[in-house]
Amino acid sequence: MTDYRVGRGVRWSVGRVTLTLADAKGNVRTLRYPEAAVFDLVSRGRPFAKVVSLTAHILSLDAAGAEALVRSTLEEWADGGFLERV
Amino acid sequence: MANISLTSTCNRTCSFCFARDALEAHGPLRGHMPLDRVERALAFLARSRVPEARLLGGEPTLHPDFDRIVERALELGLRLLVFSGGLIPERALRRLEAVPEASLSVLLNVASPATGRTHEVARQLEVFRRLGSKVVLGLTIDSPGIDPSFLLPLIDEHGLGRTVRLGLAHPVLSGSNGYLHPRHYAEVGRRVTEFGLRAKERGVRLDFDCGWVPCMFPDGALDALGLTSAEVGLRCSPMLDLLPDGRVISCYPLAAQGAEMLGESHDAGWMRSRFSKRQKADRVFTLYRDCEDCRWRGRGECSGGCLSASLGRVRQQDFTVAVPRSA
Repeated sequence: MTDYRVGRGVRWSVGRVTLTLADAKGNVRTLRYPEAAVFDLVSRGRPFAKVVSLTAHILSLDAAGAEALVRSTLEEWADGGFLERV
Repeated sequence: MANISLTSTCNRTCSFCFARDALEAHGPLRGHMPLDRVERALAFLARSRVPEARLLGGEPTLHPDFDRIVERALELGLRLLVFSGGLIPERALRRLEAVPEASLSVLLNVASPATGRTHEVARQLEVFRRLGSKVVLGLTIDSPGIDPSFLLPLIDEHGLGRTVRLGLAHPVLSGSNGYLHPRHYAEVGRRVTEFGLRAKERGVRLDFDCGWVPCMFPDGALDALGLTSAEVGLRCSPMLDLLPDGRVISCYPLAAQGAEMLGESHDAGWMRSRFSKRQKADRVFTLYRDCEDCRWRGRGECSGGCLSASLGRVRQQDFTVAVPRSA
């Protein structure tokens, strides 16, 4: 199991169709749909399985495709410093 | 521009006061800026090539050496802008009466005759009578129901300056003051437009304090008022408030973000660039969800509203995601 935790000092705000992330060093990333939706769900503490099922629903993907998307998205945010691997 | 907060003492108790947090945070509530620090603050203005000493508080006229400070600023060739709640002590009022109009404006944050306390309204009327056209009326809007109409008869009756400065009550970062929630801005924009058109007919100009946004006004309203969207929407930047204890902050609502100390060498440009650098990452956050595709923002005519209010929409909380091992 790989767990992630929000990066120290990371802040975000939800726009109409985007989500803006900023870390403590001033790096900023604007997430668009569907990544914005994934971040919003995980930041609200939704369990991984729930995030995957909602992602599958909103993107009309099968479960395996949605899970792969969520996993790769989390990894990308961890590489960018917005999440930390624990 | 830079404001010198002469004292943390105030004789009004405005619920929307955004200075209280910063002035109470370090040191006693009743702190006055010592005269040697006032001198350093005036020197700061001089090396920053700022032609105006903007005196704030608290209530700046409560400083025990207010007369001497006025004298000194005038000696240095500075114009005075005094931000007052209007309850000006007699000695300070007499001093201000003696300053020529070319060298002084008193921006007086007015108490509504309908809701203000009787003694406050009475004292303000006395100040209007004695300072006349040196007074510019200011009104801080902290609820969508405020109707500024009562200002126009005051201006005519007392021969006050024919400008009205309107401010929005912005939240301090801690959210401890009363403030106007951005969801009410459109209602305020409608009322202010109606008021502004009546004011314009009577030769009274509107001036907007920081944090207004063009989208709060009805279509065509800014044109009708003779304003551009940039004049309204680009009024959030480090203003610099020099506090009685020697700290310099970007502005009162953002005081909790940190301060510089008033020294002997730096000027206002250096201070502003320090604060701007710190706030750079914050500026991506805006007042509304819709700001992301806003036409005014896209054209560089709006900075996205008061930064302190915008940061109220920002989330920062711990969360974890437990991801099961892949099948």
